[in-house]
Amino acid sequence: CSQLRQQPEAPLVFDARQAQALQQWSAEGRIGIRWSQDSQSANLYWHQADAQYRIRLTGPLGQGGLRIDGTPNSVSLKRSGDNTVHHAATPEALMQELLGWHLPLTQARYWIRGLPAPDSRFEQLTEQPVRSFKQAGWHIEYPRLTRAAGRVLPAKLRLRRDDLRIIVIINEWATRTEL
Amino acid sequence: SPVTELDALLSGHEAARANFTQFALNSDGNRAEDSSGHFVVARPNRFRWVTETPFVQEIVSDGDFIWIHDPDLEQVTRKPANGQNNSAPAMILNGQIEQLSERFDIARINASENGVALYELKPLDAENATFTRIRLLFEGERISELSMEDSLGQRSMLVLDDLEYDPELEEGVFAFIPPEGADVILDPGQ
Repeated sequence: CSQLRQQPEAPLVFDARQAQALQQWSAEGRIGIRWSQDSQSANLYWHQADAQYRIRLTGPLGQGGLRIDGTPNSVSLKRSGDNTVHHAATPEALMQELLGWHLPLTQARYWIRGLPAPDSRFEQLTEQPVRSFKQAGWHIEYPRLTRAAGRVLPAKLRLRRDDLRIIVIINEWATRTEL
Repeated sequence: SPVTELDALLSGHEAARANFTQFALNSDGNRAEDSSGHFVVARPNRFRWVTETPFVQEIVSDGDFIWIHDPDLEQVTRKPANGQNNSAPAMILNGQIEQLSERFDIARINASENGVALYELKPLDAENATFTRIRLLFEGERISELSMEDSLGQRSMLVLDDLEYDPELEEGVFAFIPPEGADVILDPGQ
C-alpha cells in the first residue's frame, strides 16, 4: 500500500531570502571532482561561521584527508601524510597548486546555499525543472533540493567550468542553533 | 612475534566477508556515524567494498584494476591496482602482513585475557605516512574493529560484524561492469 501513501510531494520551492539569512551553518556530504587529468571523490564536511570556514575532505577508509581553514584574508591547507601546513592569502591558488583543481570558496559559500555570490554579476539561466545560473565563468545548477533547518536548501549541486566538473551531494545541513 | 601472530590471525583464510559500520571520531572524540555497508575480500588483492548508507558507493578490485562507482556523483573511475601503494586497511583485510611489516612497526599492546587481542601499527617512516596509527581488535580469531588515525588527527573506526571466513563467493563478485551510458574515467594512477 506504500504506493497509495506516496502522493507526489509538492515540489520544494527555493526561497533565496531564507537561504540568505543562514550565516552560520555546516553541510555534510560528498564531493566528486572530475577534470582532464584526474577524478576524485571524497566525504565533505564544510563549516561556515560568517566569513570563517573550515572544510574537511576524507577519502574512503579515512584516507586522503585534507583540511582547509580560512578567513577572508588568509587560508591554511593541510593534507594527511604531508607534514607542512600550506598558507596563502586566498584558497584558490593554493588549491590549484596542491590539488590540481580549485573551487572559488568565496563564491561557493553562497552557491552551496543555492545563491549567486553578491560580489559579481550573474546570469540567471533556468528555473524549471532545475534552477541554474552562470557566475565567474562557472555554470551552477541544482538538480535536487531538500528541506533542512526549517528552510529549503540544495541537496545536490553540479558546478562546471571548462573541463572541470564538481558535484556536491549534501546529506545533512545543520544551522547555528544545532551546531 | 606480533607479526607472526597477526599473520596467523589474518592469513589463515583465502577470503572473508563482513558487514561494516564506519564511524568518524572528530577531535573531541564523539562518534558521528559515517557510513555502513558490506565487503568481500579475497587474496591476493581482490575485494568488493559496498557502502549502502548514507550514500551508495562501490569499490571493486579484480586484482588488476580498482573501480570506484559513485552513482550519486555520476562517476566511475578505474585505477590500476598496484599492490604497493595499496591502502593499509585493504592490506590488513587481505592478510598481506609481510608487506605491512615493511611499512609499519607492528606491536601487541595488551596481554590477551579472555581471547581479546589488540595490535597497533605505527608507520616506520612517520614523516609522510597517511596514517599515524592503526589499531586492530581481535575477539578470538575474528577481527572486530579497525581504528585509524591520520596526520590531521582525524580518526575513523571500522566496526565489523557477521565476519565470515572463506564464504561462498558468487560468480563475478570481483568483476565490475560499468552501468549503461556511464562514462568511465581511466586514471593511469601514479
